Amino acid sequence: MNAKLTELLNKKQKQAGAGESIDWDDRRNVYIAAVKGLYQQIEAELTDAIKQGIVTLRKRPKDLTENYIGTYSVDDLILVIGDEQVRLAPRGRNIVGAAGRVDVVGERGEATLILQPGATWEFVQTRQPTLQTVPFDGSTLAAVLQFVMRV
Amino acid sequence: MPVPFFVDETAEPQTLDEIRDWHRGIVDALLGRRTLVQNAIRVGSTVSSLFVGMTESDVDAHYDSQRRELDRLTVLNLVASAEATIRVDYFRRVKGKRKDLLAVTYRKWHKTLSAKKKPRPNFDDGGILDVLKQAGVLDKTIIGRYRECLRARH
Repeated sequence: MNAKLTELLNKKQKQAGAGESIDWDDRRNVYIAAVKGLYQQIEAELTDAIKQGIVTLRKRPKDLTENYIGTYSVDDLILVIGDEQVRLAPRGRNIVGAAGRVDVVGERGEATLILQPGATWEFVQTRQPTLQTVPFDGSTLAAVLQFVMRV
Repeated sequence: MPVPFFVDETAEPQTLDEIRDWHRGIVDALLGRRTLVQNAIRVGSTVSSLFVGMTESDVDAHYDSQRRELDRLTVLNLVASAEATIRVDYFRRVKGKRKDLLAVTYRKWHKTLSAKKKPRPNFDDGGILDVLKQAGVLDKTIIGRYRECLRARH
């Protein structure tokens, strides 16, 4: 092989050195499990409303494709509340500053949930001038729904 | 009556080479930052909170947008620099006593301008560029191509 080509490839291999030890399959599996955990958490928060027929949950499978990870299947979770729909849409594992992301898409707006180490989900309130997040729980779910749904 | 010289001769406008070098420097910086942020996704390193929650596609879109804006600003800089140089050259030739074709053409046209227009003649349509084109000292296609760049200002 040409010496310059060898040098270039070696240099690139060194630059990418940190990537070799990453277990991408594990990252994907942890993310998929965390998304399922999030959906279970939401279902638990809405148990009474579901029983009373105020809220209906539906899942819709879709494929996500990401660098290093490839294509995998994950569900969107659709909350039907009255005459409105709110969709929780996983965006992927490869996210800056987080271990995954799910968007909450309503008719009025969108909110972002990011996965932090320890498999906890957080709602991103602001990015600038400083990042402000709050842990996702029952009260956060109410705030997020109010944020994305029609007034 | 002396020809008013309103272009500041003491100012040092950026040359086209300086603008090109600046553009290359900023492009390098953008590429470096883009690589850092993309790498942060893989290794989990800390980056500006602006990027937190972005997917790789979001990061690409962000930097593509930054690059487009940089290119647009650079074109504006290049166009402004060229205009400044042409205007400085125009006034030098109008003011001086040179006998070259362009100087003579400029002076002849300058005399037709109203007193109000003389300090700052039109540049594009019906202005200095048209006179420069008529003088035939420069490839007309270059002037035409430069005029296309002038649209970036609007």
